[in-house]
Amino acid sequence: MKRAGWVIMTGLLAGLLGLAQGATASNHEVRIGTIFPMTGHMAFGGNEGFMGTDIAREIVNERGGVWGGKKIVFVPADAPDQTAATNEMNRLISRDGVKLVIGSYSSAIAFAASAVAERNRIIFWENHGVADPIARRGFKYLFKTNVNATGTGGGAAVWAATYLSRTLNIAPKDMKVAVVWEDGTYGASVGKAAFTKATELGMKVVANEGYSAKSPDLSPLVLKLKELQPDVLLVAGIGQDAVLFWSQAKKLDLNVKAVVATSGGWGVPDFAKNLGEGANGVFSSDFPTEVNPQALTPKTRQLAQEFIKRFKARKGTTPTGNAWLAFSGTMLLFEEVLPKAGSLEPESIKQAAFSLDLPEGSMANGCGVKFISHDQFDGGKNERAFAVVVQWQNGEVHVVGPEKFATHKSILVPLPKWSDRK
Amino acid sequence: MIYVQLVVSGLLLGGVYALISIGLTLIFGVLRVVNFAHGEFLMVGMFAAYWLFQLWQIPVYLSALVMLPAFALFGYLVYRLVIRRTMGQGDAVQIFATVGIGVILQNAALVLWTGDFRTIRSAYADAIWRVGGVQVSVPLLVAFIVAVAVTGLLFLFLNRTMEGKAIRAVVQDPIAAMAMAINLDRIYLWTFTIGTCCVGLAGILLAPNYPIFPAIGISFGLVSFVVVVLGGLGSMVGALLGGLIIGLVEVFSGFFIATDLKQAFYFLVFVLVLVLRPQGLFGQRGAEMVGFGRLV
Repeated sequence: MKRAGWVIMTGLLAGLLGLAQGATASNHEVRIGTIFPMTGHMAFGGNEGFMGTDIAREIVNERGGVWGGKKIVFVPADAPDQTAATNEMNRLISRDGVKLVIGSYSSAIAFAASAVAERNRIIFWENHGVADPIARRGFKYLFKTNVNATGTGGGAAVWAATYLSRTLNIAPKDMKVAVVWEDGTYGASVGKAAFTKATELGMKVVANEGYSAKSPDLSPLVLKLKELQPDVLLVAGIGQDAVLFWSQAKKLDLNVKAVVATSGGWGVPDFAKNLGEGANGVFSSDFPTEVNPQALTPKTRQLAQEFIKRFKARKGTTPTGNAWLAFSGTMLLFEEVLPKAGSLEPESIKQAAFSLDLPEGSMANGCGVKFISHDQFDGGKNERAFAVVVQWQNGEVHVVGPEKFATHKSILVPLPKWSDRK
Repeated sequence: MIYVQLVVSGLLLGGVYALISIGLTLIFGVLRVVNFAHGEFLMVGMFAAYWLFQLWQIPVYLSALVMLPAFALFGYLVYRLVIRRTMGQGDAVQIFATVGIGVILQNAALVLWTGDFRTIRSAYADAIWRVGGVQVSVPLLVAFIVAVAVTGLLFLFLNRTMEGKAIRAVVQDPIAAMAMAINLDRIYLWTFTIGTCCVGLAGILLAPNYPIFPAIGISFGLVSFVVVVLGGLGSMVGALLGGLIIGLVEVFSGFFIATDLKQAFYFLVFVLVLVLRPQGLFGQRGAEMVGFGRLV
């Protein structure tokens, strides 16, 4: 009887070990960590970012995976804030043993998570976070596939000083500009870039105001802007604060000739869904969405269409710049970097990534690829990533500039007064 | 004209804060339970109004009639299943229990309705009164009026009815109240249920004014704690005036000094009041030691 007990125990243990082995190792899988704010204030963007990332995984696996048939499996982590980002990264690395992590929608999350990756010498592949300081810490294990704050924030000021100046017939030096930004890692960096560029371009900056994105009310800010009567608003909002700001602008009758946002909360589908007609005409110096197909290589043209189809099937809306970033950056990793690297070893991935030299139009969102060496300023950043200008038109975001990438013409310049809108 | 607009905006915002804080101060004052799930209760109220409007086009104010009994049941269940078991167990147990409820509610909302933010889009939600050059948001004005009315009704309830007097007796001395045959458990149940209905009502009334998403309770919850302590623990009038003060301070400091410092300013007022008057504006001195003294 005693012997039988031992046999059963041993059998159970062996079974459990076998199960555990199956769950963790498997030679047919490539395990990669993902970190996004799936809950909390930034959940809408985090989930969208993860969706774009996951569609890339799905497509690559359907095409046979990587390294001769290995399927990519994600080990997901939820990081609603920076503390969680640090904890979850530690968990991914020490408990789950991942050697590469993709993130992260938010600059704040990217900032914290990449620091943990750096300490542990594993690659952090960031497709979103735009804040300039992310790539300015001399990190050796960070790759950032997208444009930075100087590109989006500065791009907003350039759009105002060029296209809007011409269309509104106001010289840049006479154009009254208000720069408004949420005071987190993202908004502060983008706002600073917009302010610096607007000042450089000689525009009249009448306000440079930060606010907390978690504030339940923005009426003092709106009233202050109403008093200052700017011609153009350059705004960096990260989430629901964008909807709150613009709906309070409507209620308090803040009228401006144009708004140029810098992606974030102003570029997500929820913005138009919540504001309806009120969203129309808002510009955003943003990550490229569906760019003019002529600007893409034949291979990426087909890939872009495939992405739109799958994203619509999952979410029911067209993908925004945020989702395009996730998809394009992850496809770049899976299709160009991993095959060359041959393994998840950080040094192999670095070598493969730095060897890339792809022209504009090579990524699904129209960007090219050339990573800046880790020894240089902005090390690990993709220098061929760029921002475009999009505009909300009838509830959808369309690229309106630069001309090469534009799919639509701008509308509603100047913006009608709120009292003249339906 | 801008000064008038600032005062109007500050008062309307203050009314919102007061409305949210009334339920919290009631529960705080009577049960001495700091309900950290208060913000999430508000979020549930906002989502309830949103879905009733979205699915069946039930106007916001009508949804209050439908939802108040539901909130009473919700408050009843939360008290019976959780709060009651934490009474007399020490602060840590109550804090973890209520924080736990908050986390569960927030994550349930996230699973059910995703992290997307939503707004009630109707002509009513956008309604504005233009008086001279001043813009007055109609739904915010209604929320303000309801805040004042609820404060008045609770004041009357606590002072004129036997149940209200029993609640006040429990606040002044729970042991003596028990000796007078007042059923403590029933009073706590009543109070928690009324407090939950108040915050549910606040959520419904605020739904047309703000984007609705699972984490919205966090920002409003924090402000309501400030309002309650500023006004005096357990004081209805304190919650109303505390809310109005915070609203005005926030709008004026945000306008004249810096928008990103507006929260710092109302916390400054908060600290000053606590230093000069530790019991809050309408609380009773030493209330935190021997009970909350009075509940008006």
